[in-house]
Amino acid sequence: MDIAENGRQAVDACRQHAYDLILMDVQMPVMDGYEAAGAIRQLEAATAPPSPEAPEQQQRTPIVAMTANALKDDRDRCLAAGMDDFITKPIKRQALLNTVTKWAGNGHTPVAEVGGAPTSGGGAPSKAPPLPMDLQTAVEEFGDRPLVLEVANELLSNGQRQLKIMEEALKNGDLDRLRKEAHAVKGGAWTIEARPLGDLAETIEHHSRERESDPIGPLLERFVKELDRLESFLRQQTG
Amino acid sequence: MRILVIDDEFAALKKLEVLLSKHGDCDAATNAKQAKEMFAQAIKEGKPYDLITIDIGLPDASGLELLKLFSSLESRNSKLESKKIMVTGSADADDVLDASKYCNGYITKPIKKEVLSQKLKQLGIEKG
Repeated sequence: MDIAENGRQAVDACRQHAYDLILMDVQMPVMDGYEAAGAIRQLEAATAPPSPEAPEQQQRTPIVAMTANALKDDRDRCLAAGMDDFITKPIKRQALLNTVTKWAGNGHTPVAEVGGAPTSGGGAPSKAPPLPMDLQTAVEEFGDRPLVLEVANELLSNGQRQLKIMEEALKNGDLDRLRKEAHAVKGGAWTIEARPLGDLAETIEHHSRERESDPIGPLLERFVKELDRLESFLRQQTG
Repeated sequence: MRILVIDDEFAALKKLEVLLSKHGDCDAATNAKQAKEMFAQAIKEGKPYDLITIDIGLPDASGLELLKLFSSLESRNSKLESKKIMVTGSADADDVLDASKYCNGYITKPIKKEVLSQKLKQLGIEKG
């Protein structure tokens, strides 16, 4: 199971892996669930291999929307966006399990109707993160491997400095400073194809802009881990 | 061809330099002050820049201000006009609209090789 915190991360994850099922919140920062579902369908149309059951068709990952609204309009909008089904929030354990079984079990039958009864569900999600950096793409983009590694190492040492600034800014409640640093990290990370770090920085930037400081502490902890992952990745590459 | 790349972000700057260096001699500036000096110096020496890329968000001035300044300096001091490409984030729609009057095009960050190449072809700098 992989986790995405916004639509863009979801689309990026789909670029890297084929999933059997996607559960998608419709209201997310950066890119909402409708837009992400559309983008994933486009991506599939362009790149998905033929389906094993029906070789004349392409593989298609079922997408289940999670929405707070049970209105028919919302349901229609989910389906129109390329999603297959939806469950209502708060998520109820049995409804979730039924839906997952229906779509990720053997053979998919596209039916759209699921209601729910209250009880909050929750298995702890495990995470299989993508590589900290897409080195191959970076080398193709820059056309020069030593330069890529030089820039990536610079990004890493900047990142460690920027982390300190962000931690300090969070402590002082200086969300503008936080937003600026996160923005700077994002740009550099994306440029060097270190997507996970860039996406994390983008999420921090988003919360800073919205003046939501609560999620930022845990995000900075993940940021530390992501820098560590990038560091060991680069150490392997430089050998 | 003389090229000036203006960007305060290390990775983007390096990438633009490496991609543009096959088209000419690349100079780099990381802030507006430095960029203004280099721009003015180049005109003074009679070897103005042929191509300039300007990051829209510089630490000490907006890229838009810099762009306007370059345009007015050029109209006063030289007949030759450089080609100017704005480099923007996706969230800068209004600035892009303003900038479009003074520049020859823009590319969004993160910069992609192919996108830059398309833009250079449009401007007649890259053949293909």
